[in-house]
Amino acid sequence: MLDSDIDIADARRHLSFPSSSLSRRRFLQALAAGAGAAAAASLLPAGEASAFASLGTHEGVLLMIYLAGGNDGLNTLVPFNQSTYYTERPTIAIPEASTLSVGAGVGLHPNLTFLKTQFDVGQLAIVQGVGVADPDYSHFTMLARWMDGSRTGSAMSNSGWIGRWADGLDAANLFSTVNVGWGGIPLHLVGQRRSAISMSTSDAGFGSNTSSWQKDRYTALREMATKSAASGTWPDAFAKTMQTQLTVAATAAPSFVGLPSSNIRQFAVAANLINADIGIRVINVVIDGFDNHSDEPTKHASLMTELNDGLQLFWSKLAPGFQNRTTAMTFSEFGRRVVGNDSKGTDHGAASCMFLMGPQVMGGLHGSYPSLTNLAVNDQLKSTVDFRQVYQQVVDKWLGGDSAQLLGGTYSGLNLFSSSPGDTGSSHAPIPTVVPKVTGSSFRSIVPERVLDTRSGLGAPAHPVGPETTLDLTIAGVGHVPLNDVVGVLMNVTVAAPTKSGFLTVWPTGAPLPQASNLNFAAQQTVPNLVLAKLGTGGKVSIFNSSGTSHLIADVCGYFIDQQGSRLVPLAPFRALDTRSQAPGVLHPKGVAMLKLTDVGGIPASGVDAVALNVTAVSPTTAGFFTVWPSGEPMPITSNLNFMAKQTVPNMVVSKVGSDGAILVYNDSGNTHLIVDIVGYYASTSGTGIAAIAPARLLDTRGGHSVAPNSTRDLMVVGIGPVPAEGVVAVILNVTAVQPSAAGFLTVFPAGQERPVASSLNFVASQTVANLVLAKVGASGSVSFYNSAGTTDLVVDVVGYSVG
Amino acid sequence: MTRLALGSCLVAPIFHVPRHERLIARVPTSTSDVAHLLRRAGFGGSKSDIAALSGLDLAALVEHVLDDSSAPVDSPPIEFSNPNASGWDMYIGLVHWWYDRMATSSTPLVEKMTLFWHGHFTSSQRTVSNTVWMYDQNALFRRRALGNVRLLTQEMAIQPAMLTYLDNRWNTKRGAQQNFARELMELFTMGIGNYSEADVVDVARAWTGHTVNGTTGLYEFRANNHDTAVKTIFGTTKNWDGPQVIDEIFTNAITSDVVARFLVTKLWTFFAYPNPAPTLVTSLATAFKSANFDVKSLLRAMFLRPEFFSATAKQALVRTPTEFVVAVLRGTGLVAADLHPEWFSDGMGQELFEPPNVAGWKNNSYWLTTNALSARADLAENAHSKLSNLKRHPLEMQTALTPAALVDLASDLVDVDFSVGTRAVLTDFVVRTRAGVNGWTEPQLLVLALLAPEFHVA
Repeated sequence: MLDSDIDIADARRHLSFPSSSLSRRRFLQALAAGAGAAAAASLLPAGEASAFASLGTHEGVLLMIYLAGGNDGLNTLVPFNQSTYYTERPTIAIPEASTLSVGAGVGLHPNLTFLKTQFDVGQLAIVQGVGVADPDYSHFTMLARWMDGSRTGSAMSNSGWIGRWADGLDAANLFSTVNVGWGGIPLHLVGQRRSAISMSTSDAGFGSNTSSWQKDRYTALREMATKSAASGTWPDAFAKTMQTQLTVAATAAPSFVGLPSSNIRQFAVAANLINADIGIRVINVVIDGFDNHSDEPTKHASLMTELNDGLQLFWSKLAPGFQNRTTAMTFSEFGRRVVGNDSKGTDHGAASCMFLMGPQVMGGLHGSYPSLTNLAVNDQLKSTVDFRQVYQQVVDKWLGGDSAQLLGGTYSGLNLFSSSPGDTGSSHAPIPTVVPKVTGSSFRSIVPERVLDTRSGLGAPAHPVGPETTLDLTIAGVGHVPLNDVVGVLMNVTVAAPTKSGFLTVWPTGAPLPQASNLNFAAQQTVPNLVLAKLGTGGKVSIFNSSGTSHLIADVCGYFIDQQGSRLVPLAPFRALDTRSQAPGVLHPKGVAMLKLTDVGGIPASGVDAVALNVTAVSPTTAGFFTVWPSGEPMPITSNLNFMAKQTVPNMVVSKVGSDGAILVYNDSGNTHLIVDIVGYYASTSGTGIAAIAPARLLDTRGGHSVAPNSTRDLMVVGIGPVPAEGVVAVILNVTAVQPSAAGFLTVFPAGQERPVASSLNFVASQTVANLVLAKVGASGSVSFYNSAGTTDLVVDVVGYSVG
Repeated sequence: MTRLALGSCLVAPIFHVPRHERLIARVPTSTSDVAHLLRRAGFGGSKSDIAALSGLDLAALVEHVLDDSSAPVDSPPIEFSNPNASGWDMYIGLVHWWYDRMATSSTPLVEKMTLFWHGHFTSSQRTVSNTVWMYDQNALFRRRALGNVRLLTQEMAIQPAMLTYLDNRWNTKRGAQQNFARELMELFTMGIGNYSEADVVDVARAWTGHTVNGTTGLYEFRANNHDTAVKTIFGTTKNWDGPQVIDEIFTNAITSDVVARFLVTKLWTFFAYPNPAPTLVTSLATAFKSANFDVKSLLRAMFLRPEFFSATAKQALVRTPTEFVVAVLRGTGLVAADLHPEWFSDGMGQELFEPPNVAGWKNNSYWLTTNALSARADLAENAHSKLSNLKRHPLEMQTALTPAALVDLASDLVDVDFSVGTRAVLTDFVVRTRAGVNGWTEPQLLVLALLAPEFHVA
C-alpha cells in the first residue's frame, strides 16, 4: 500500500510547477509526489530477467505530455472568428493571418507547424473546450483533479487514473508506467497497488556500470534491501528504492546513448525507452512554464515551439514497429482567462484544448469551441467537454480497461480513435518533415549600430559572459530595427579579451542550441565575425559562450524583414581593392579609404542599397580595427574587423552604400594593407529574398577527411538539411578552418566556375578561425572550397540562404 | 473586526536556564531523545555532543536548542564583494555559503527554520534572476526565523524577490495581477477553501502599486498605480491596502484561527510527523495564537510534547536532500566548495534558492524515487573521491583494522548507529574486498555507509 502521507493538503501542495525557467536544463520539476517508488519496489521480483516484458502487438502505448502551469487554450487554438478574442486581448491576441487555420473559424498557434501537418493528414485530434466542472483556478486542486481523474467536488483520493489502470497489469513488469524527468512521480501515475518508475532526462543513473568492483558495491546495496529490513518504514523504503534503481539503470542504459543536447530531449528519451521494448504502456513527459502571468507572447510562443518540435522529435525517433500503436496526448490543469492582464499575460482560467496525435486517432476537431461572450461564473470560459470524456476514450479505445470503474462514472460522447492499437489496416502515413517556407525575406541595411557591449552594460549586464553561458539579446525594436515582422539580423559580433579559447554559437532564442559555431577565439585574442541569425521568440537571438569568460560586442548592420526591402544578388567573388598594388596604398593610423562600389564589376550603377564584402587586413604593424560605413554619414562607434600585429585577418562586411555609391573604411591604428572582395549586393529592384534559419552543420571534416594543400573540395548545399532543393541561388555559410597545419587562405566560389582571385578566410598555423561566407551556388547545387596551403579541417554551418 | 486579546498562556512557561545551571543534570534525557531533537531541531549531533547534552533535563535541553543568542553574524557570501564575480559565481557562492552555514552554525535551529521559511514563502533564483535579492530574502527569513510570523509575512510581501517571483510588482490598478493575492491566502497563510474567488480579486486590487523601483532595486509604493476604490475582503468593505490584508488575516477572529492551524500543521509536519491529530493541532494552534504568532514559543511547546518523542515521530521523516548534504558535510568535514552539492541537488530534487514551485517541497516518499536516489549515490561517490584526492579519506590506509572495527569507524564518522542487518552487509563487503582482487576498493565502504538506509532518515 502507499504511505498515508499523501493526503489532500500535501497532494495539492505539490502539483504545480515554476512559472518560468531561465535554464531549460531540467524539464520535470517537483511532480506530484508519488508514494509509488517504494510500492513499485516492493513488487520487484528477485531476478532481474523478469523485471520487464515485451509488449503485445495490440497493446497501445500512450505518451502523456503535461503542459505545466496552465496552458492558454485561446492562444493555442485561436478563435479568430470570435471578435471578443481581439477586443479582450489587445496586446496578446494572435492575428488570424498568423494562425494555421484548421477550419471552423479557429487556427493553431503559428509555431505548431508539425501539428498542422499532422492535422492535414488526419493524425491529429483537437478536442476543444475541455475542462473540469466547478473549477477553482488553483494549480493544485485543478491538477489534482486532472491527475486523479475520478473526483468530484472536493473529495480526493491518493491515486491517479493511469495508476489505477496500471494496477490491473502484470505486477512483475517494472516498466509499465514511466515518468521521464526529475525524481518525483506525478499523481496520475500513482496506483493503489503499484506506481511508476522515474528516469532522468540525461542518463540511466547509478547502477549501469558493469565493472566487477562496481558490481561489488551494487551487491552490497541490494543486500541492504533485504538484510536491513525491519529497521523502519522509511529505511526499508529507501533500500528497496535503491534496489529498484539498480535494476532500472542496468535495463535502461542503452536508451540514453546518443541523445540530442536540446531542451526537448525528454521526447527522445521517451521514444528510445519505448523502442527498447521493455513493456512501457504509458510514459509521461513535461513541458514546463505555461503559467504566463506576464510576457505571454514571448514565453508562450517558445513553449509552443517546444511542444511542436518535441512531438516531431518523438515521432522521428520512434521505431516503425511502435508507430502504429502509439498515441500522444497533452493535458494541463486549466486554461487562461479570456481577458488579458496588464503585464501582457493572462491569469488562471478554466476550459482549454487538448491534442491527441497518432495514426489511429480520429483526426479533426472534436467538441465545440466555448463562446467568448456567453461566459461562466468569474467571466471564465464554459467547458463543452468534460476531461473525463477524453479519458474514457483513452481507456476504452486505446489502453484497454474499464473506464467507468477507473473514472468513477460513465462518460461518453467523443469518438477520438479511428482504429485500435497495432491495426495494420489503418491509413498510417509516414511522418512528414516540415519544410521551411521557401520565400526569402527582404534585407534592409542600416548605418552600423551597436546593440550589445558587455563592457559598458549595453544590451546586457556590464560584466563578462561566463563559460557555458547563454546571453539573450533583443534585436527587434532596438535602435533602427523595427519591432514587427523582422525575421533575421546581420550583425558583427566581437569577442574581446577572452580568458580561454572557445567558440560562440548564435541562434534563434527559444530554439534548441544547434551543433554549430559562429566565431572561434583563442585566449586574449579579440576576434570579430559577421553573424547572420534568425530571430527567435521575443525578437531575440541567443549567444552561447563555450568556455572562458569574455566581453561580447555586437554591431547591427542590417536586418531581414517580411516587408518590402532589398533583395540579394550574389556574385562570384571579385577583388575590388588591394592596396598592396592599388591606390591609396598602405592605410595609416586614423586613415580613411573611400571606395566607390556601384557600377563596378557586376554591381549596377543605381538601385544598390548595400554591398556584401570580404574585407581583409594584411600584415598590420600593430593591433587595431577597421570601421566600415556608408559615405556621407558620420562615422559610427562600431567596428568590423579587429586585428593583431602582423596578423592577416578577414571579415565579411555588409555595408549600406552612401548616396554616391561609396563606402568608407577607417583604420584605427598602425599601418596596414586592405583588400576588399565583393561577393554580392542588395538592391530594391532585382535579386532574391533571404531566409535566415537556425544554424545547421553541413560539413565537418574532422576525423580523417581534412582538406589537402592547394586543393579544392565541392560541397552540395541545396536540398541538404534545412536548405530547400528548389530556387536557392546562394547560401550564407559560417566557415571555420580548424587547426590548419600552415598559414594559408580559403576561397569559396560557385562550383564549376573558374576560381577567382579572392579570399574568404585567412588562417595561420594551428589557429582555428571562422568567417561568414556568402556563397553563390554553382553547378549541381554546390559550392567549391579552395585551400591554398597547409592541411586543414573545415567545419561549415549554414545560417541562411537566398531564394527566388 | 476584532483584535483578539492575548489569552492566558497555555504553553509551557517561558523561562531561561542560566548557562551555568545547564550542566546540572536533573532528569537526564535519553541519548536517543537527544539525538532525535538535534536531528530535527538542527542537522544532527556527533556522539560526543549527544553524550554531553544528555545530562540536561528536557526543559533545559529544549531551551538549549532554542537559544539563538550566539547566532553568527549574517554577512553575505564573499563572492558578493568580488567585483569580478559573475552572476553565476554569486549564485553558486550563495548556495555554498548556506550549505556551510547549516553544517557549522552554532544555532542550527535558526538555519532549520530559515530553510522552512524558504520552502514556505518561496521564491526562486531562476524566476527572480537577482542573487542579491535572493540573499536579502534569506537574511530576512533568518532574522525573523524564530520571531513573529505576522511581521515576517509583512516584510516578505514587500521584499523584491517575492514582489518579482509572484509578479506583484506588475500588479496595477489598470490590470490587476492575482498571482500573489491568491498564493498569499492559498499557500502562505490559510489554505484553499477559506476565502472566496471574490476575495482573490479584491486582495489583488489591494496590492496594486506595491512594486520595485527598477533603478534602486528597492521596494516602492506607487500611489498612482494603486487602486483606491473600495474593495470587499472577508466581508468588510473599505479602501483596503495590501499590508492591511495581512494584518487582517492574522487578527480577524476567524482567519487568525485558520492561520494558526495551517501553520501549526505545517510546522509539526516539518519537525515531527505528517498528519498530526486534530486535538494536537488545536492545542498548539491555541497556544500559537496566544503567543501572538511567536515561532519560538510554538517550537518550545512542540518540543516539549510527548508526541514529539514518540516512536511514531522518531521514524516519521526521510532526510531531505538538503539535510542529506549537510549530514555528508558534517560527516566528512568537507566544505561545500569541495563537495559541490549543486551538481547533484537538481537530481536529488531539492535545489537551494530553487523551490520547484510556489508550494515549496514535500516530504518523505516525495524524495524516494529511483532517479533521486541515483543522484544521492552520485553525491556520496563524489564525497569519497574528493576526500581521496585531498588525501583526507578517513577509511584509506586502515588495513590494520579488523572489518568490524572499520565499520565502527564508518559508523562514528557518519553519526549513525547501523542496524544489525546493515552492519552485517558492510562487514561482509570489507571481508569480500579483502579476499578478492578488488581489495583497493575497501575505502568504498564510505560510499556504502553514506547510502545505508539509516543515514537517510531524519
